[in-house]
Amino acid sequence: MSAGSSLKLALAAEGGSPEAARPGRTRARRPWGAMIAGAVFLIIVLGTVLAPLIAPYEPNQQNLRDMLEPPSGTHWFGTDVLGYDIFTRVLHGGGPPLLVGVSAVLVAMIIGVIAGIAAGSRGGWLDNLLGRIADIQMSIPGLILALLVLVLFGTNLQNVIIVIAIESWPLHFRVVRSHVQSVSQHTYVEASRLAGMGWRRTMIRHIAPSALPLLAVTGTVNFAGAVLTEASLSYLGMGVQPPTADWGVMISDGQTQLGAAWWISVFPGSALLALLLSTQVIGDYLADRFSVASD
Amino acid sequence: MVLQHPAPPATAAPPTPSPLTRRDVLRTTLRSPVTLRFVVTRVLAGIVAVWGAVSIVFLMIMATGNPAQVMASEEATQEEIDRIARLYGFDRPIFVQYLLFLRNLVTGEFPNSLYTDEPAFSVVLARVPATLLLSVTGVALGSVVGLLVGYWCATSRFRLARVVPMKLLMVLQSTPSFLLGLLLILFFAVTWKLLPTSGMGSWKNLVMPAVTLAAYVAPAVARLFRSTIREMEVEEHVATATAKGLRPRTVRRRHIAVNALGPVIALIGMQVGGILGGAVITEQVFAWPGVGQLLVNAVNTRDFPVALAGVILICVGFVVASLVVDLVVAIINPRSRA
Repeated sequence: MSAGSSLKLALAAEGGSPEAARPGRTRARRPWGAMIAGAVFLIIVLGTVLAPLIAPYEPNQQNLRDMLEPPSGTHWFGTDVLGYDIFTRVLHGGGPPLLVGVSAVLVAMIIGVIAGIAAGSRGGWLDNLLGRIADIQMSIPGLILALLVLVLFGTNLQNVIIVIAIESWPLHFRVVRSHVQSVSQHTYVEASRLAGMGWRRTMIRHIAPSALPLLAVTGTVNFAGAVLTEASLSYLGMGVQPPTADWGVMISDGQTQLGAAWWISVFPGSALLALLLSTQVIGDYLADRFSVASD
Repeated sequence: MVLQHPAPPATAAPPTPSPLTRRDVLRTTLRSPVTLRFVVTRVLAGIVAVWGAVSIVFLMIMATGNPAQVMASEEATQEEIDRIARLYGFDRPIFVQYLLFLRNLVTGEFPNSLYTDEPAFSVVLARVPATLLLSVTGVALGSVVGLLVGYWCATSRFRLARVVPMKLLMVLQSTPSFLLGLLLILFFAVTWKLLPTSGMGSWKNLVMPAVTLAAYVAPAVARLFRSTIREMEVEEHVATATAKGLRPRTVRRRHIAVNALGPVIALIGMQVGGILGGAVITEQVFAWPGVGQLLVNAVNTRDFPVALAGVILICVGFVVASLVVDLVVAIINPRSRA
């Protein structure tokens, strides 16, 4: 879903956008929006990680006497058709999206950074080849590729992670590649080479550190995309399989009950939206802070 | 843009260049907006892209290890699997298999749907009009709203009016389509009973799916249009327009906004993949009988022939849509005709 924004991001990293270069806007103000978003993000992560400790019920504990209960003191977010406690499952349901988001972004980053450094520093046929592969990659509709892979190789969390990583490495690749290319022109890099530093040491000591802010930006963009893809696939019935608590699955489960029990999908939906929104606000803040236009 | 074409050879002396005659003007304005060569190269590139997508599908089928099994239903007998293996030559060398796969695609000799036993491609093709209706309506609605909001946020005199709509759009951008669709159903169909929940029929059925898809398109369009307008405000042709005494509104509309359209159309081109993905989800939410819903159902029921046909058709649609956007961009902005 982030194909457009990622491309703009790569372009901005290459050329430096006028938007970011415009002077006048002071950064002295406290970034309240980003701080609130960070707090929300932390709460969601903590709630998910500590779910087994703080959840009032077991996530897979059926209780057929209490089915379809509206939100109340005993069941804060109500219960679903099988009497599952929605609050408990919302806490647990953040697990798959966060897990998929973090691991897919890590894998994508590792591929993208290695390929980006190789292409940016060596150039030549390798650069052409990797660039072409990245182009082809980005021209396949992401969700469709994911559907195809999951049909053929089975729907499990591991395949979802792999598919998302394969889909999103070009994002990091492009940014790192152009960054390496532009930094390599600087005098200090040349100086380090003249001082007898090897190619690898120059990369690690002088070029890689300056790429970290850019990776923070691409990482957040990628994370939001990965969470969204995971939730979409689970909603479509192709990600996490039902007995496991997952926001996407819960939203889909609740859709048939929407008239009778809105709370089944609305609460996990709000949690998902809060996670996505806070990630986007943080991403925008980072992009602004490090002068990378993200729109 | 017309002025970019070479002027007709001047016959008069340099100090008084001959004025353009009516015929000259007609000749330049009636000229085909893009060259035949450009169209041919782009169409060829599109064909190569389709071939690439089909090849990737083929490689993935091969990577599963037992392609005949994949194409057959789960209860298929060994005999049935062998029949499919023979039909596709899965017992032959891989290069021959590849050629056979391509030939079967071109001739449409694809296995039948495992459930309805109809040819997979005709099952998918029957769903195309519904998807087309939904995506075109959604994209059109999203673009119009996005352009209006973007223009408004770039030019309004009031800070609140500039900031608030952008923030709202940002929330919208973060909202997954299926969640937005669900909320629309909850309010407009369940609570207020204004619109039907799902299916296809009257224009009322189209409203919520189209709005859901539009909500995916509008934020990106608005953000880009707004920033392009603001970048363009400092350009020299805008200063010229202001200097010759045009009203600020005319400058904004004729000289800034119109020129800022190009990047937006290019953006929509880049988003085609995402829009198709969004359409798949939207169709699922509202049980809209399009290709996406068919694809998801086929995947969930393990109806591989239909699923593969759907994937291939969506890839073709993706390439065709990108091609159309490329041509439109080239017509609007001759500099992109590289």
